[in-house]
Amino acid sequence: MIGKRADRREGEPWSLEELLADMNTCGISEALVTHALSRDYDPAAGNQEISRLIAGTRVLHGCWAILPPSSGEIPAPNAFLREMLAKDVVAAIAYPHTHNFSLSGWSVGPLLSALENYRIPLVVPFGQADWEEIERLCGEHTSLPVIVTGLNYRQLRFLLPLWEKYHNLFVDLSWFSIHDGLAYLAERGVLRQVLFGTNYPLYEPGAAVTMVTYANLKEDERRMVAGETLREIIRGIRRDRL
Amino acid sequence: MTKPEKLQQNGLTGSPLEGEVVIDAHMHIGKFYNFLIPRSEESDLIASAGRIGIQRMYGSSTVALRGDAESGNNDALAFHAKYPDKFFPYVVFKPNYPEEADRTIALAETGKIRQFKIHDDGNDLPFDDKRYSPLYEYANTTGAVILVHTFGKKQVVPIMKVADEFSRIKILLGHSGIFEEEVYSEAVRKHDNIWLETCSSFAWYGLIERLVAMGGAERVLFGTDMPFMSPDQQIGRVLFARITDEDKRKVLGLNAQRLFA
Repeated sequence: MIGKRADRREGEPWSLEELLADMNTCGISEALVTHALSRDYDPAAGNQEISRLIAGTRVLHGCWAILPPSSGEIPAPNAFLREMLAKDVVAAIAYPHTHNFSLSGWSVGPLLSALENYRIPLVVPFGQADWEEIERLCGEHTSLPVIVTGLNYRQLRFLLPLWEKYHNLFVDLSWFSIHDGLAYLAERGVLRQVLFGTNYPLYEPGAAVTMVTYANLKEDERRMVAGETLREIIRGIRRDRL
Repeated sequence: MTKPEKLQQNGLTGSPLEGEVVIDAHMHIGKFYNFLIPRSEESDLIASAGRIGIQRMYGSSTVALRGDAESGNNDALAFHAKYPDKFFPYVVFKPNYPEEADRTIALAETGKIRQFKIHDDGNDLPFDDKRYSPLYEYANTTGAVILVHTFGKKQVVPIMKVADEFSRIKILLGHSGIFEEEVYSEAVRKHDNIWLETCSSFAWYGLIERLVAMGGAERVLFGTDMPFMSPDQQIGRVLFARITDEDKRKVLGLNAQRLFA
């Protein structure tokens, strides 16, 4: 996330330039990024702002916040998604808890179905939806990649049963600091469900980097977590259905 | 990409920290009740330390912290007997089992162990409770290290009183800066016998730099909390910190080498 945040602590970066510098330091070549205004002020304004900021950077890919289409704050589903893809926005993000809406079908069903149709991943920060909602989301939209971010290391008793049912559920690594966790998940056959992520600028990106570089993995597995799986998800977006 | 300093380069490549002194001042052995720790066997801990280049680990038993201190402390001693150069036990002292206090101290005395761990998880007794007195009096006579579980003011404020009263105890504040950073700054600035330990699953941006700024790099010790969480994450917080390699070396092991000497 970039942009000025309501909950920024002194010393935490917020600008595009700081993000690019930290990515360079940590050897991060590309990132999915959203704008603080999308979470903390107005999703529509933040969505436009992130696209304006990252236009031409090539290494940053936008992520737009969604709302229930009925509220009229964002365009109708197909128009919204067409605009996203036209602006190299390759993921959507939902903050149902913060933005006071429901992730249920009666609220955002048509939008979720449209995302699923185009295979555009939906990011759900941990705490924005409970496990029952995530289970329903994955089950009702089995072709929608659902990426739960900021999940802590104490959630395997929820995740392992879900991963037995759903292959469209992904998590990011930013707080998923399970001891020898990546090797364990590789052994369980679910390493593909874990994506490199930093939760920047709340967390140090270097801590996520070393979770990958020091992991007890084969090199092809390491590359998968570091970025290949996310690239595969993004390559899977069905632009041909526009 | 600009040329990184040596230790940062280790982080980028995931190569072990060969030729460096790396000591984990805060880790555990055992499992935990409220989440799955998939790899917590002794061999798993040794292997994880080896991948990073951690030469020595100072740890306590989670059985001891949660329930049976006597049993858990004996597990820790047995681990030490098996890996005498790699694993060094903290003896856990439980204030809510005052009938065990003498035996706990005798265990440390017999084993020549000069480090203890206290934690308020479950018992919720403040660290200045009089039931800790046998430990503090003993530790003060021997100049022992006490690693204290902290999560902000609730634990740090009472332990500062202990630091005032027992000036020979070396107090190590676990999870320093995790919340309410200002109290850690106050603790380390006002007390020469307090040190800061780094482990935290929240990899707060810039925290390592702020801990170093509080009382100098000499007062900060690297810890992992393994196997609660991954040392792979914890090492990155130090290797990529915006401090000099010289200061990183102090944090990673040189300070611990002196503290536990």
